[in-house]
Amino acid sequence: MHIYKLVFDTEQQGKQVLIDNNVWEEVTEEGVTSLRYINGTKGVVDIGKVINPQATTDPEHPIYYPGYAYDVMSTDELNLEQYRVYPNGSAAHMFYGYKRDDDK
Amino acid sequence: MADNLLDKASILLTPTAYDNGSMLSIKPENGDGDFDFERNSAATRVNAQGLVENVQIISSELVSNGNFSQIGTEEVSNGNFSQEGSELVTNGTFENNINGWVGYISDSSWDNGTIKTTATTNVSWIRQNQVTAANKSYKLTFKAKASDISQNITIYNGAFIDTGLSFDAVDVYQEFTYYFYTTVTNIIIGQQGVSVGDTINFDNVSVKEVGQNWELDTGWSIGDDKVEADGTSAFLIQSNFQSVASVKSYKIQYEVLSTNGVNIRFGGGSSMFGTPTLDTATIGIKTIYLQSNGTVRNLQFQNNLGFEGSITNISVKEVGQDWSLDTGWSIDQANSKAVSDGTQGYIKQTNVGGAGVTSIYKAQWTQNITVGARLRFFARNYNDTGTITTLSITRDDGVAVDGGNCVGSGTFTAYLSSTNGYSFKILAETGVEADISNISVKEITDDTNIPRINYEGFSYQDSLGSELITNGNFSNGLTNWTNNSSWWSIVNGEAYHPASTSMKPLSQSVSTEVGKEYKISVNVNIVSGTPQVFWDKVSGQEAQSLSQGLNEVIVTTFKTNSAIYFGRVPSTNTEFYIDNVSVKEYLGQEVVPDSGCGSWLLENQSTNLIPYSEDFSDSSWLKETSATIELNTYLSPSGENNASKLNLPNTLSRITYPFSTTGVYTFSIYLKSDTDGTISLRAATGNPAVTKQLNLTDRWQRFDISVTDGNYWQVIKTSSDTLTSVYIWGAQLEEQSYATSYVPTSGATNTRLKDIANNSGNSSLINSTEGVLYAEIAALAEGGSYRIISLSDNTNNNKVVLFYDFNDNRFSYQVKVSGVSQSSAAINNVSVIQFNKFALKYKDNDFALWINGVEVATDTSGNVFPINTLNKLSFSDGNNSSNFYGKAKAVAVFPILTDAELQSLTTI
Repeated sequence: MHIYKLVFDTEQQGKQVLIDNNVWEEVTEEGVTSLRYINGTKGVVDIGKVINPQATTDPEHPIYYPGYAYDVMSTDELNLEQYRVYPNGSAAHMFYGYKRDDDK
Repeated sequence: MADNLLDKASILLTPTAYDNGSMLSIKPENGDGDFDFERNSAATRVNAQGLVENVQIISSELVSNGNFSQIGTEEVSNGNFSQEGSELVTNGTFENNINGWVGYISDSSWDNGTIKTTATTNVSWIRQNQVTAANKSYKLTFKAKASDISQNITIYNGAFIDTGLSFDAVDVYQEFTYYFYTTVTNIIIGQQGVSVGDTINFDNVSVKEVGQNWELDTGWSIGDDKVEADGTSAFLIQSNFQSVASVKSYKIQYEVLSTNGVNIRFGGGSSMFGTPTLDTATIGIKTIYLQSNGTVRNLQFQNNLGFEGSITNISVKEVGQDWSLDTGWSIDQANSKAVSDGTQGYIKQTNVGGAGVTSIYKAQWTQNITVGARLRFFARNYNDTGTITTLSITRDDGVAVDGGNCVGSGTFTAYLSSTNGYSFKILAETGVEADISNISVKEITDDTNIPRINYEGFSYQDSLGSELITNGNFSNGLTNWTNNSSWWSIVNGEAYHPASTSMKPLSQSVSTEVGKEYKISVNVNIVSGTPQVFWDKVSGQEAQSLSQGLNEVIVTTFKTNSAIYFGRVPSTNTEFYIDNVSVKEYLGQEVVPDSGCGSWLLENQSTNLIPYSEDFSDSSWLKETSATIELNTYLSPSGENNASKLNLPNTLSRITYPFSTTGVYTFSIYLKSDTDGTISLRAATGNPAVTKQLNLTDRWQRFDISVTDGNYWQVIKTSSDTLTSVYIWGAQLEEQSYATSYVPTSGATNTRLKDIANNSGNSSLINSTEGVLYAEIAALAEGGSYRIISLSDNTNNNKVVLFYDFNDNRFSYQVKVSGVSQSSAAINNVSVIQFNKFALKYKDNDFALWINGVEVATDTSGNVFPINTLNKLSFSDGNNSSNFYGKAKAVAVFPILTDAELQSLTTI
């Protein structure tokens, strides 16, 4: 199992890159459009903008890291190295049952 | 479901058994009906004990008494010295002359219901023989009047002793009580030093044994519910307190009153506690924890310092059960911890995992270092003879522990791998003063495809502490009870109160603490009148009338070391019996284990967006308008002491998680309170916010609120709420229209992936030309998505499907052959959140849907499949999309059934 922590410039770019890399596909069934996992994808998590806790002094007005984040769990080896980050133990998100630094 | 119908099923899945990666069907037995299961993540469920647990935990708690709160039953007999034996005097009321009595060196005669003794020399005494036994203590009570009040009353206990009792007035009856120790068998009472012809009238003479079970050396004597010392060097002993000398930990309590500022202590060569150093306070209730030495067996006070005063309410109860403590460690049961005093030593529990067991263990404990730097953790096999593998140890702030050296205070988690069981073992090195608590060890797995059987619908019961009443069923007569005026007696094994309008209570002291709740229960058989139970408060007493049968009273007003009394309601002539008296600490409500109903739980992927779901002290939680948090000291729905208390003293006091969302999100949290009352959840969607008022009790409940485009999420005390403090645990915010199972977080958001269950059966188990697809299921949400159970050929072209859809409260079926729908129906107004029984019959030109015993749709037109087309039963559509998210008590495939059978099958 592989866990990819990815940061894109925008939400839309991330969505499209994941479609282009066959992580998921956009399908419309009986009038409802959704993104469906394909191939070895086990989970995609829309992390969004990640709060920078060191820079944030007012919880009601958080300071964010740049970019838009997705986490992907897949049995496939994905060619997404240019978008990967390795926060290790300081990751803002984890998959339940895996260590917080499972990002390889 | 009738047994004969079960026999007909070719595939039958019930929430019974699973493996990692499989939901196991009970039919067929060869495994062909098992479902492949996949989630690829951990998940929580509610287990059969009602606890929220990670499904990767595969054992119950393996440590016994891990929070050191276990306490044994009372082991001291007659510790409050209130025990009184039966009446030993014959004809003490002189109702029938003076039979049994004689004057002693004086004349005696019957005088209108009394005995009158007249001095013939210088004494005026009465005597009765064969009353007492030598070398025991007794309580003497009587009523008397005298013609000469110049002399004190004297008794004979082997020697004539001045009691110090005296008359206040000539020829006026007075009541007297005197405790004495005797070496003879007769009782003599009277005055000496009086003149010839002086008289005394005696009435209601009573002698009862007291001080049972105690040995009193000279200098100790029994008083009113206490034992008194006069400063003489002497022992007070309960012999052979341990039947076999053994090393055990005990909680010892006694109430001491020194009149000369000198203390009393345990001591002497036969003292099971040796001669420990005690505190210097000479007045008050002492609570100490000591370990017996395992060599001698007596509970033994030694007065060698000149103590003058009294002791009572002596209590000794075993604590620290199942633990082995080296010198330097002791148990503080009241505060649920073990304490090291700086002496180097181990604390351990062996056989936590048994001999030969291969497993991964998760060990957790909380340590608090007061002096020194560390405790040392040892990974040991089942009998502490060898080392097992330590995978990791971390402190709760993320610090990794190296070499078992657990530095600092906090909660530590160790993962261990063993092929030969496990023993929990901690060392306090020389000079380290620390305490340790909440020790937990469970077997775990790192498997991520474990299906969940989730339980709900539990029954609840009172959670109670240990029994505080001794001899509550009166199997030992009235021993341990104080029988006022000897009014009570034992009749047919019950305590009997003859008819009386006077207050003549039966009472017993109880080891209570101010501020705690206790439950009194008693069986009452009323002959006439109205009995009551009453108890001592800090100031005064409080009473509760009793009715016929079992009475249960929750008391919140006990004083420390109180007493309960049974008697009549004032001025009411009352005759009654009591039995099975019990007083226990009331700890709230708890789940009756295995009282819930289990079902398979299948859920969609969901992320808990709150990074600190149990640590409400984190700055991401805003505590506003005087709200405060008392962290992680209360029993949570997970069974651990990690719930917090949220104090909301003012209107609009609140705790807030600020988080802006777009779309529908749901905030959920577990809440309970000490007393029934209300508090609110509030989520902002602009102005006004959405507020949901909640009814809290002393049981944990999970509450939720769902709003669109929320930007803060609160637990708040509004102006209409009644509670000023609540207990909280397990907060979750997720992008769902409903709350899914709890996903714990500790510093990062956390995602549980979706449950996938499919690929049950084959073409020989699923008849393609006619049959029945049956499901007893409940949805997690009313609408919003397709949630399908199907028979198919692994495509969407050939399928029989039962499903919830986007519409609220609608349930549907469809049969599609070669991509063409042959039959379908949608049934509205089905309460899909509830469990319903659905059965779909499919056959050429004969389709029918049954719901809960009613045929709700039929279709007599349509084709079915060629033989051997259908070969798969799945919790999804035929092509594995539109997964079924919900709860399932049963899913089955049947051959064709009659209408009567379908009705029977689906009737709830």
